[in-house]
Amino acid sequence: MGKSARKPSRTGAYIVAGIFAAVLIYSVSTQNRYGQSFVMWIALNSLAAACLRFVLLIGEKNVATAAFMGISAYATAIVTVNYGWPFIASILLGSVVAGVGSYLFGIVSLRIKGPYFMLIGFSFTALMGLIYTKWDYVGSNAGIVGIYAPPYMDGWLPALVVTLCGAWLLALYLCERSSLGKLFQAIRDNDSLVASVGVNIISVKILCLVIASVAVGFVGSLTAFTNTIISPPDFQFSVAVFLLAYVMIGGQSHIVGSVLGAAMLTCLDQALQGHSEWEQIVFGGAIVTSMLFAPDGLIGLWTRFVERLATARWNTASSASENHLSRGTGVSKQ
Amino acid sequence: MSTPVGEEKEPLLAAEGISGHFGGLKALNNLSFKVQPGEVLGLIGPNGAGKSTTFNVISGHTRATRGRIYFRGEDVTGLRATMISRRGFGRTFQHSSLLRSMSVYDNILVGTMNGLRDHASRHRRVLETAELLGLETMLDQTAGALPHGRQRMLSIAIAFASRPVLLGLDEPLTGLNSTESNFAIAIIRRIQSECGTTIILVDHNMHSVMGISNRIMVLNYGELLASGTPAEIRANPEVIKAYLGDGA
Repeated sequence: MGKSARKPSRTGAYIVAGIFAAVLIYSVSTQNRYGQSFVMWIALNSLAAACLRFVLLIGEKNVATAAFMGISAYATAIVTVNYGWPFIASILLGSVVAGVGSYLFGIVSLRIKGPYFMLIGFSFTALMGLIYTKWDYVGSNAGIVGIYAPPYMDGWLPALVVTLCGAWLLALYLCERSSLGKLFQAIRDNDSLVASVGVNIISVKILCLVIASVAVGFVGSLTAFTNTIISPPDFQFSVAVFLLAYVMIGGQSHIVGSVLGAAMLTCLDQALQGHSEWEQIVFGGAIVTSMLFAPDGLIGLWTRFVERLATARWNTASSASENHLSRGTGVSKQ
Repeated sequence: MSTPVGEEKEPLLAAEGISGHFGGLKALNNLSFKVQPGEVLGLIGPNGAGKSTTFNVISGHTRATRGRIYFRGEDVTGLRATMISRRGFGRTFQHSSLLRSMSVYDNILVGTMNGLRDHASRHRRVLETAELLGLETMLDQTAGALPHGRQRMLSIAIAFASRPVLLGLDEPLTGLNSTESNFAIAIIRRIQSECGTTIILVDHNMHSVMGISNRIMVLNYGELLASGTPAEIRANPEVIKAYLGDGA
């Protein structure tokens, strides 16, 4: 007896583990600076998209993801540049600040849902953008520069980023498959039913938001170190829109979809470097094409392919078995 | 029957003069009743009589505009549904309320989240509940794909998974054919007799409600029209008039 309608595929897990190992080996071995940065962007974008998707489990589009990423990046940058905090401590602080911020944000905003929650997220992101822009202490429009990882991280930062993002993606996946994850999905499907069985849905929703925000806090902090400079445009509303595009194009039914979407669109983004006028058009076109022809995203296409393959194999096996039987009994098909 | 009915004792639930208004519409008017531990109380009445409103008010899904509600001796007036549920009041809804995209197992699992903390206990409870409700062979199936009768059973399973002391069933037999209906009645009886759960049952199916309940309350226009054993209710001329009209 199984516990769930959908069981994880072992083959899929091996493929994901293999790709992760290959990326990790590449990030350690390559001397190509661009290659290293590229791998880090994909890893960070994947985790950020997975965080946005994680809140989708409770049925909410959390566009404030960009704001929490910004809060943690600025917190990390301030303690690193102004106070000389150690590398690991500043990363952890960034995540804690994002977590606390999201908790307070959740208490206020998660009593409402759907487009109203999204609107509050949008307003909060815009408000944070205004604060970064107007407040001299955080560098105003110029942002904060000189956020360097310590010398002992030379050459190891890409591997650390890939490992941390991989670990977080695994943690989010396991959380999603746990009883808590089922509760998140139950709230998305029918929150009044969940409330009727005695579950405090607001607390559970806040917990979901905080978990996602702590994870996205890591993205913000690591972004500060990988870019060495942060400024207000890095954390504006459009960032959340891109993250949503990664999730939609990759497919929201599985966390791997977020990684696929992020990898594909980051590659596309890099291919369009130097043609910025085309960037928005191509991105928009990719989203529309995906919505029309692959509404379940890349992961949906993969699932359909695997199902068709299994059906074809089953049909072949049945006809072979029929032939074998008819030969054995001497009965021929009319 | 695990508990003798009609005996004077501390009621499990007591509603005192509850009223409910929706704008200008008076859905409930100064209704008082008690539910004794271990009984099956049937709540019947014509359409718009206030049965579901009574249900929603006592379970905390709708606020009473007047009156007080006591559950297990505690004043629960104005408490939210979640808080009343945590005190041991489980309920189903008029329309099958399920997690349609999730498996039967996960649906029942969500029902165990109130109270049980460790995974092993929850798993055991899910299996026990599924077995009791006749769903043990369908645990992997998606809830939305189940036949209507099984969906009704799953609604009850979700509400009963936390082992409430009082189980409210809002029209559990609606839309069931006679085989499914008999199966559901047998399950309800089993829940009451084997687990000693007190049950409040709202349904249009007079025959079935009369068959299951120890005591019946008849509502009409938001007021209590009659209360008594099924035999007393069957013979009550006011009930006959309310159901069949003046010409009866």
